[in-house]
Amino acid sequence: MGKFIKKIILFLMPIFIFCIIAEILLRGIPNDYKIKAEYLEKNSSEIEVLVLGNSQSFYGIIPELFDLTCYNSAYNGQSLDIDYLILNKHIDKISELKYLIIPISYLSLYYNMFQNKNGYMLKYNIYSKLDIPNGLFYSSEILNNSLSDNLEKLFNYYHLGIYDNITSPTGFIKNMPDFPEWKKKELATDIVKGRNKKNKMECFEYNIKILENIIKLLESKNVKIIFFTPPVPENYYNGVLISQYELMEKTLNQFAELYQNCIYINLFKSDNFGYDDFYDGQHLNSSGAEKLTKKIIEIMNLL
Amino acid sequence: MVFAVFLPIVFIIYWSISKLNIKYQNLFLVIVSYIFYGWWDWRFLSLIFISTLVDYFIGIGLAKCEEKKIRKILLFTSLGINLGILGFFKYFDFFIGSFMSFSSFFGISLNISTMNIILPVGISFYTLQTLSYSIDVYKKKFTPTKDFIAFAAFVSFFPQLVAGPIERAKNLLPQFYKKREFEYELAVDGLKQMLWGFLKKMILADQCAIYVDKVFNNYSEYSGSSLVFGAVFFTIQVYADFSGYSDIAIGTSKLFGFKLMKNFDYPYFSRDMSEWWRRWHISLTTWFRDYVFIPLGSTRKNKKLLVRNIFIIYILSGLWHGANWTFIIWGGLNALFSLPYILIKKRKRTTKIVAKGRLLPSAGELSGMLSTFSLFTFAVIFFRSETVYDAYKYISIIFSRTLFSIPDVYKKGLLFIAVFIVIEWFGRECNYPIERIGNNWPRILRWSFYYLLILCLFLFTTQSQQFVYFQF
Repeated sequence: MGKFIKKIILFLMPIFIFCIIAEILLRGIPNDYKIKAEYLEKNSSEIEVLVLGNSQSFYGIIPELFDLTCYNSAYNGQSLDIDYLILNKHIDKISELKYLIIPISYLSLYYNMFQNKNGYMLKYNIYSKLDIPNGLFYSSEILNNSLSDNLEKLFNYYHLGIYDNITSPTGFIKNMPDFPEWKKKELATDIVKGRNKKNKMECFEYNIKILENIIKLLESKNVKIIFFTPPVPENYYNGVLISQYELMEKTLNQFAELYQNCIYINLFKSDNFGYDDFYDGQHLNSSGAEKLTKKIIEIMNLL
Repeated sequence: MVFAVFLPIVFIIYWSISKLNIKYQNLFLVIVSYIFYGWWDWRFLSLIFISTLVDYFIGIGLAKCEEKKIRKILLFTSLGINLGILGFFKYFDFFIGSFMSFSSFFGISLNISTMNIILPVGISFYTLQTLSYSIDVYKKKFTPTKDFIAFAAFVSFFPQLVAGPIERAKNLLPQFYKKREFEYELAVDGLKQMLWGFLKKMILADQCAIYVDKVFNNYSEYSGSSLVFGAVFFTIQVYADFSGYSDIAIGTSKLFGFKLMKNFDYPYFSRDMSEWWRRWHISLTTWFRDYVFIPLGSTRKNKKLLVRNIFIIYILSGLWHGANWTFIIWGGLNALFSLPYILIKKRKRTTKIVAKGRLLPSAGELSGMLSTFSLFTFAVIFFRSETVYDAYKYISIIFSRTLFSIPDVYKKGLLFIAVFIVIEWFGRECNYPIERIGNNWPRILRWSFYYLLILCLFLFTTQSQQFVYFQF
């Protein structure tokens, strides 16, 4: 038995050493999660407007257009539960915060990371250092991604100097490609179909509680919360499940009525946004983002 | 991942307490087996416990009683409870649904609601295992145990609990009576067999699954030639998946000092269908042979009876896999394909290793292997399809003009299949192909070989899929 254990340890040693080195090297590669987390860690005391949420605010809100100091901490697939954890983590340091901007897109109330055990939780656990439930299962790059993917990442960064980073210094998306209009239409139809499949009613109650927690957390700090439903192309809004869309709209309007520090802007079917304002089937391009940001600033100025 | 943490912990504690009484060793196995199963779904632990309790006391009752009538009542109580639980969880909805369809065919509209019952993992496996105990004790082929802990460990032994091999009491239960001493060679052999099982499952089966899922879920969009490849890939997938699991189970058992029965014996190198079924899912086919086929009556002189009995066991075997007409047809087709060999060849039993001592098979052996593989592949179309209609449509597209078009095939998967077939061919004289590789090599070379296999495992592994046989 002793001999067996000894040999197993000896045999596994090189594998363990490889895993540890690879894990350290992988964590050393710059990525958007790390960049955003580091910014919040260092500069949260200066932030006056904080943008949270998923890709629709990551691609849609341009911090540079605000007169106040604004940071876009939204990211692809970032659900409300993650938003709440980010806010909770930095709440004591963001003493200058005046406005919080959160998108409530078509999927927002019917999806969340924790209940769907999304793989992105790994990134929020390791790099954003959020208090993720069952964080132990999301604490290793090497164990959560395939070896070929990890080796490719290591080779690309340490040999070729290439890494994934699409975040600008203000947290907004750096580069935005563009698709032809026919492709945007096709994508919008496909995306909404995918969203309809992903929609889970059982997440609704959970997300409502998250929203209430966010509101209560900021109520005492006198921070205004701007919920907005971002615009989408025509093919997208024509494909939604009406009942779920209406429930979302009704719920947010109720929130705005109930809580003094909240307002809700619904731009889902806004005529001001055409296919020219989108880069794909759901995300705004730079001109669309400028329109949306100006619209939000305009409303902020009225408050 | 959970298994990778669970196994070393259990292994170390198990051998640490091995100095104590054998009862503690068995009790520990029962506890960890229940934890292992409960991790999946704790709600169904009670079913294993009921099965254990029923068969334990019926075994004791059978030992004490000599009166035929009471012995029969005891046996039927065991059959009734075990098959009743299995029937309820596995077949209730199927029979209700089929009965309603049948009634509506005759214009009678029935509205009986089904219950959407969840199938407890492993129930089909451990039910047959406990039943074999009661039947053997009834037939006085096996002395029942008085050791409840040993019996509970036999029923719930975690390496084979969820998907077999379906062990016989006379092979496994006596191993719980003897104190296990750690055997270095057996443990190393177990690890190697596990590694081979993981390679089959995580590379071959999961890679094939990528193509199979795509083809079977959208078969109407593919050409006949692509659908042929879809069926071939599924035949390989189901073998790699299930025999991979069996290797992991047998290997894990060896780590704990147990020897389980062989479940697969290179079925793809079978020369006819009856040989195939002696090499495929051996623990199930021998179970049906011993507890259904033989009790159905002597078939030596009566060919009609033989044909009937063959159809019965193959269809039952199909039904065991799942509550769906597709499985029943799959079983029926296999009976049909096996019959000529059983009837014409006068039940010649060929299980000798094909082309033993030779590098390549003869033309006759090769054509036998290819035709057997083709017949099985044809039948698995029903096994994999959601409905009989889907299978029918799938086959219709195969036999259309598009059969002669260039197939849209997953080339990477094809490469993996080719590599694995070559490895299995060269290792067909061993219990598992890598059993003897490197045994006499210097350690550095031997270890390098294992590192290479582990590297392949992690490099070529794809999105992990559930084991196919967990659904049965």
